[in-house]
Amino acid sequence: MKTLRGAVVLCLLAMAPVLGFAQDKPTPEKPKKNLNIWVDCGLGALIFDETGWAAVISNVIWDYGITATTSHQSSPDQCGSKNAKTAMYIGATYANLVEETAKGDGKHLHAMLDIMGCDSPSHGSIIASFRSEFSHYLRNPDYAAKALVVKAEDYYNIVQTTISEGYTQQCRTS
Amino acid sequence: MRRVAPPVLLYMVLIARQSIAAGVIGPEAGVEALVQQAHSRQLATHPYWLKLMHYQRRTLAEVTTQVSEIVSPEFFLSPQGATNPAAELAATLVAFFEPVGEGSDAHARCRFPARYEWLRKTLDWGSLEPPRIHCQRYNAYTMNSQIDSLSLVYVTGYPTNPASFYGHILLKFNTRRELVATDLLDHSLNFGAAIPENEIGLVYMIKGLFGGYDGIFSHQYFYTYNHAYVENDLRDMWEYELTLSKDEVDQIVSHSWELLGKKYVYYFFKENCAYRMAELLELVIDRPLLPDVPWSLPETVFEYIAVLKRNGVPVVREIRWIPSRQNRFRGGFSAMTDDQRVLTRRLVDGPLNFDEVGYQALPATEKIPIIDTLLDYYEYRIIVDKRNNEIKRAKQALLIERAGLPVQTSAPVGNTVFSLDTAPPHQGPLPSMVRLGPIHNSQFGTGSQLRIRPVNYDRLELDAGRIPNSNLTMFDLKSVYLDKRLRIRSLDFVKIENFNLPKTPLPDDGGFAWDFKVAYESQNLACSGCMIFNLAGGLGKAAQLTQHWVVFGMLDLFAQTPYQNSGSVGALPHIGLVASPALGWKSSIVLGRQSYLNGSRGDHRVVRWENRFGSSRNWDVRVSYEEHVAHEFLAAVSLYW
Repeated sequence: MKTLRGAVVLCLLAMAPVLGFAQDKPTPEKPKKNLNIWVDCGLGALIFDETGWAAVISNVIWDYGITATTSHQSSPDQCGSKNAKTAMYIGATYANLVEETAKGDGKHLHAMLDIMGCDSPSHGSIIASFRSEFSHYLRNPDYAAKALVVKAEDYYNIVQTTISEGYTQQCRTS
Repeated sequence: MRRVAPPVLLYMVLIARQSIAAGVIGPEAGVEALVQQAHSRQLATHPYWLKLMHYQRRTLAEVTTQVSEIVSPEFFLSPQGATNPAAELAATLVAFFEPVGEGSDAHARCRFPARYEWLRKTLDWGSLEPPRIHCQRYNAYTMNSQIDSLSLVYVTGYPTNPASFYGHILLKFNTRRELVATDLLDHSLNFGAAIPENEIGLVYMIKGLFGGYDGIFSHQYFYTYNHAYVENDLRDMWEYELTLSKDEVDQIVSHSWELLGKKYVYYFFKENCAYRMAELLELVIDRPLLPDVPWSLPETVFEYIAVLKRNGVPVVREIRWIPSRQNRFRGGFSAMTDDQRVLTRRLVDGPLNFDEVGYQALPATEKIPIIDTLLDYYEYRIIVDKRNNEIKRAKQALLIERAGLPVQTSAPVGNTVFSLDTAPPHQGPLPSMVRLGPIHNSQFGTGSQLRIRPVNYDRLELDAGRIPNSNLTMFDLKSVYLDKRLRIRSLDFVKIENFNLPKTPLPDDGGFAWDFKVAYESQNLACSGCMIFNLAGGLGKAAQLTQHWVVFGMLDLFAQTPYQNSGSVGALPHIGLVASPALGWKSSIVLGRQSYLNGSRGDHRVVRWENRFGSSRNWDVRVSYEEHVAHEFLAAVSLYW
């Protein structure tokens, strides 16, 4: 089971560099009705195991190349979307992201907004907007006890809401 | 004598491949002429082609052949490609002209872009044009040819995993910053063994040593490696940005694409990450990046490349330190004023109450470095102790506090100005050593000692580029000539000592000192022909009294093959001091008592006083006194390379 989990995680990770992030003409992504990226793409518990998925890849080298080739054919389109890539990124770098959000700036934040297709000049104002939202969220007395998967999903939703409510023109999100 | 495929064979390959695409290719005669041109110019024996195909010369029964080190059949377009450079070259040229089907990414042009570019430049194609093609996946990999430069990245050693003792190498593709804002989204190349999950340790060691695993290139966004190594493993990374031309960068990137997922046979000591990365760079850097020895160390590649110049230009443009989370909070703490440090300690020692300790009186500009350092510190503690909710609540309080302060980034810990006594790997001790000198033993008289150690460093060597005062050696052979006999004194298969010293006064910085040893060694200094196998490990604590004085206490437990009813299990509690009393002099004193828990239940005093004189990376002088039943004095000269 753990092997399968690892394989799915690494499929998703491996897809990210291959599936068009660097395409010069990004293909418009179809709107996904009721897609729950955390459930439908198997993110959630798969990547946010408290033991840290990174430990899996730190000392064991996987055949990403092969995995990327095969998984490309069979994975749902939604899971190769910018949303999924963003979710994967948030899962991997959550600690850095929340620190930089509290600080108001940082390279992890800019990388996240790059993945989401947001224009560089808009990064500062987008960060300022969700910094404010996130500082309210932080005051939740249950925050520290929440599982990482829950915190990461909440963070993802705060960012997505901020963008959908004020920055759709600046960001090419689905 | 190298065997070259005769033209007949080339044409057989050609005809066979063309027949597949009969009626579609078009200018068959032109392709045929291209193959003939390659043959007449002997391109199949060209060094670049041999490098692209990873051929190695093998001689068997006085017959020399070229055999590719890649064992994946899909790397070859000719059925004989793994052993026949000419057949593979002919098949490659033919394949470039095959029609482009629906899956253009599977076409030879998209699968082997480095071969195509080289053959395009090297042969006269005249008016011959292969089918137009769009390689979507390859273009994504190259960021649409927007990779500006390459960086060789050293990941420091990870003492809790034997496979990572000697560090690791990555190759980072630096995309134009106009395209992506930070290097977190740069693609990075990795090479390692494909190891099944939950592999048993002993199986892992044996298969790693003797070629039981496939070695594979893989790639990921740099953030995944940054997270795995820097954030999770608490290992530093050192980035060496290279001054390769755009054409050279493209050659490396395109060839790495050809290699992704292809299998080699992995050998832990030789054909490992260092070997394959060096080999990849040697495609364009026409100098060896590793010595011709039976082992390949990642840091040696950096040692070579750091001093390399081409046409008077250094190959390394810039060296950048990427500190671990642990070193980030240490760097932040060391950059504080004395008052800030005192305040930080009071915050950490108490319940993290920002109202009680005069913190509120500070201007925001002075609060920010404190909070930012503590964010790193508490995240470090969360990494070490993931189940501690109290630490998580402390970090939550810090996040809330920080979100209420202005946007102002603290000075980053990690740039070209090194701090925290850190030094890049190429400035560390040279790994291989030979030591020779006179010895006097109270039992056997005067003689000499010869010590040979392939890798890596002992406690007294230069502290740059490694964990200070630590020991990491493998296959350390000590032989003595005493009483007119040459004998082995010890062979340390592996010996590790790590003091795990804190660098700040903050709680949980540092931890237990520990050591581990597997050796074949003399029972004591007074006996002859009394060799035993010894497995030992211990825990303890070390403390840094001053910058140059460290004291420690350890309890080692050991199990050994018995010698003359000596016993087979025992303990060796010991205390010690490591000091640098003067420039160029470093000293280590250990006092302990070895006691057996079975057998004769004997016990002996153990004393070891070692001194290193000299500050050179290439040599030093060692003077030591050792007591273990007998007494022994040594004065020796060490040479390092």
